[in-house]
Parts: sequence; structure tokens; C-alpha cells
Amino acid sequence: MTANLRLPRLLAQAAKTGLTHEVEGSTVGEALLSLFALEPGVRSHIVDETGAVRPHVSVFVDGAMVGPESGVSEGAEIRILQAVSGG
Amino acid sequence: MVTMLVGTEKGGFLVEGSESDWEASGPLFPGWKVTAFGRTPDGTHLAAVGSNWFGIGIHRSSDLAQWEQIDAPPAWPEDSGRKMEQLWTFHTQGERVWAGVAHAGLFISDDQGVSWSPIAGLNEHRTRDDWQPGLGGLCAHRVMVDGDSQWVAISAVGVLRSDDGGINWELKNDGVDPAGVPEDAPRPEVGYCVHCIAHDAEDRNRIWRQDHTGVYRTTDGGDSWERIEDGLPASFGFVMWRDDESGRLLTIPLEADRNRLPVDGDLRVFKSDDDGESWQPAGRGWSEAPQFTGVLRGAFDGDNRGAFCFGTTGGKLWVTEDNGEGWIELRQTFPRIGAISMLP
Repeated sequence: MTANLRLPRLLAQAAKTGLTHEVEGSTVGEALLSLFALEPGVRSHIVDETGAVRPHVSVFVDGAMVGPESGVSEGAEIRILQAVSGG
Repeated sequence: MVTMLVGTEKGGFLVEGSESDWEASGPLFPGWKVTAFGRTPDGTHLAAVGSNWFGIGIHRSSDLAQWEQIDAPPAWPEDSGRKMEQLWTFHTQGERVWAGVAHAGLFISDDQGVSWSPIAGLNEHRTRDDWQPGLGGLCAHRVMVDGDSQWVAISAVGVLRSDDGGINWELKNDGVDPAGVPEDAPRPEVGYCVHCIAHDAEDRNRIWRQDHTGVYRTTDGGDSWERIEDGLPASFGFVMWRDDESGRLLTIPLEADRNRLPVDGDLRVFKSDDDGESWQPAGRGWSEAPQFTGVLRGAFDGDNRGAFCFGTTGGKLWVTEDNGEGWIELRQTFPRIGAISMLP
């Protein structure tokens, strides 16, 4: 599956080729691995040492917040957002 | 002309000026906490950033204008059980750069800060399972190097020294009181909450230490420590600085761990010109109004030519250009300041 993934603006300097990418994968986890191959600098910002998505990072697919095992359909819109937290 | 890089909770700032005329620009890395600055052997500037959401990062720049983020900052192995919470310090010596991080550990770069590898002898130390975080986390915040002799200061653990280039490390805290331990309890091997260390550039075995439990010095590389607090209004604080040119020591006392503010709001740098035997308030220019603010360990720097600066948790910058005799508070206000680098 090919999906369109958009990164948050806070990762603009980590993402060398832009904030929007076409990624491949049938799950969110596979799509993220596809992203990390394109943009290795964003990996440590999205997942922690164990490979899990960071606690205050959310992944949305077509408007619904999902987990790494969730499916990704052809042409899906994936958004990565920072949670509403902080001061 | 003094040029400073200022790291805050909300980005970095470039501050330039002299006497009463100062300009600030920024923020660099908006939205990111800036936790440390450094220079690589070839002069490349380094800035460490962190985020509540996205972990840590390292940016490199040759001109302070264009910054490029590296792809792979220091990281803990997947099975380590440790988290990379913050990069606390850079230290450059010879052709190598060290980075101290939390959870506590050291990493080195031999390619101008582009890639990083762990120092296993420190990071997997035999006492590692006993390391516990303090209020500021479990952080390696100071590194000093003199050839094969290396020192690292880790909050709530203590000072460790290597005499073989970083392969083996020994705890060096004899004479220092442990933090949070009853007086009649046995001395623990770890649990010494060092806040800052500074050494004599000509004799690296002479080290001064601002600790959670007091102010100390050693003349034997840390084998033994003695208290040196004569004249200080309080023995708690986070700053210890030694000016290479004059030999002057500088620290900023805070009342106590239960009240991390200047005593009675009297924000002052204290100086010692006799290697810590005695301390006096440094210079003039201090506010007559109470300053209920703190100064953190990374927020003090100097150029070793008589200019010093520090930033407060209240976001104010103080500068002296005459070896600490006259101090100026800049008009600008910044977010909470945690890191400062004074550029030569």
C-alpha cells in the first residue's frame, strides 16, 4: 500500500527532504519503517529506545488515532502529531 | 564584545554586546529545549536539543546561522531499559568530543559530532544497578579529560575517574558526605550528588566541587576531598567555575536543597582567590531588590579572559567583563535558562 504521511512542523530540521512523504506498508508500523528509510533522522524522535511510538506522540490514519498494528489502506492519509501537553 | 549562546526551555538565543548595549536574536530551534552547547575539534558549533514529545537531537553549524541536525544522536540499546532523556554536556579535548547524557552515560565522537558511540566502561559500570536518579534525573553532566585521566560527574552517583583512557572507572568521593543518608548509616559506595566540578587547567588533579552536600576540593585527582566553605552564606548550589587566567573560583550559593533560591533573595556570585580557603561576594552591580531565582549548573560560562556570564531560572542574564568586579543584568528576559556558552 502507498500512503501519504505528514510530519509535524517541530521535526522540520530532522526531516531532510520535507514534512510530507509517500510511504509503503500495510500497517502503521510498516509505514513508519518506510518513513525511517527515507528520513533516518526522524526515527529517534518518533519511536523510543524499544522501537515503540513515544508516549506523547500520536499517529492518525484518515482522522482516527491508531496503533502500530493498525492497517493502512491505499492512499491513506497518515498524520503524526505531538500530544497536547506541556507548558 | 561578548557573544553568548543561551539555551532555554523554549529555544536558543544568540546574545551579543558589551557594557550596557546588548542585542538578542532567536529563537534557534523554536519549540525545542536547548540543553547544551559545544565545539568540535575543527570548530563546528554543536547544540543539543530536547523535547517533551520527541526526545533529543544534535545540531551542527559552522557559522551559527545555518544548522544541520544529525541523523543519529547518542542512543541507548533497545534492551538496556534506559531512556535517552537529555544531553547535558559536551566536552572537547584533542580530536574527540564527549557527550554526557541522562539516563547517565558517556558517548564519544571522533568525527566532529556526526556519529556517537558509547563508553562501555562507564556506562556498564559494576555499580550501575545501584545508580538512582536525583531531582534532576540520573545525568552525567560534567566531563574533564587530561590524556588518559578522565573524570565524569554524575548527579546522585558521584565523581568517577578513569586512569586508562576511559576503559576502567573508579568512584572518587572519599571525604564527601552522601546525600539523603543518615549520619550514622554506613557510607554508601554510590549516592554522592555532585552538582558541578571544575579543575585547574595546569594541574588537573586540583578539582573544586559544588555538591548537594557542600563545597569541596581535592588536590589528588579526587582520591580525597575536603570542605571549603569559609565565607559562603550557604553550601548548596549548582555552579563551580575556575578562571584559567586568574585562578579565581566562582560559585553561586543557594540556600539549601529544600529552598533552591539565594539566601534572602541576595543573588550574588561568590569568589575565591585562594583556591577556596575563603570566599567573598564578587564585585558590584547586584540588584538591591530580592532576586528569588536560581542558577543551574549549565547556565554559567566564561571565556577564561575575564568575562563571565550566567543565566537564571527566571530568564535573566548577568555578565561581567572585568573578572567579576562589575556585573550587569541584561534588560532582555528569556525563558528558563539551562545552558550558556560564551564564545571566544
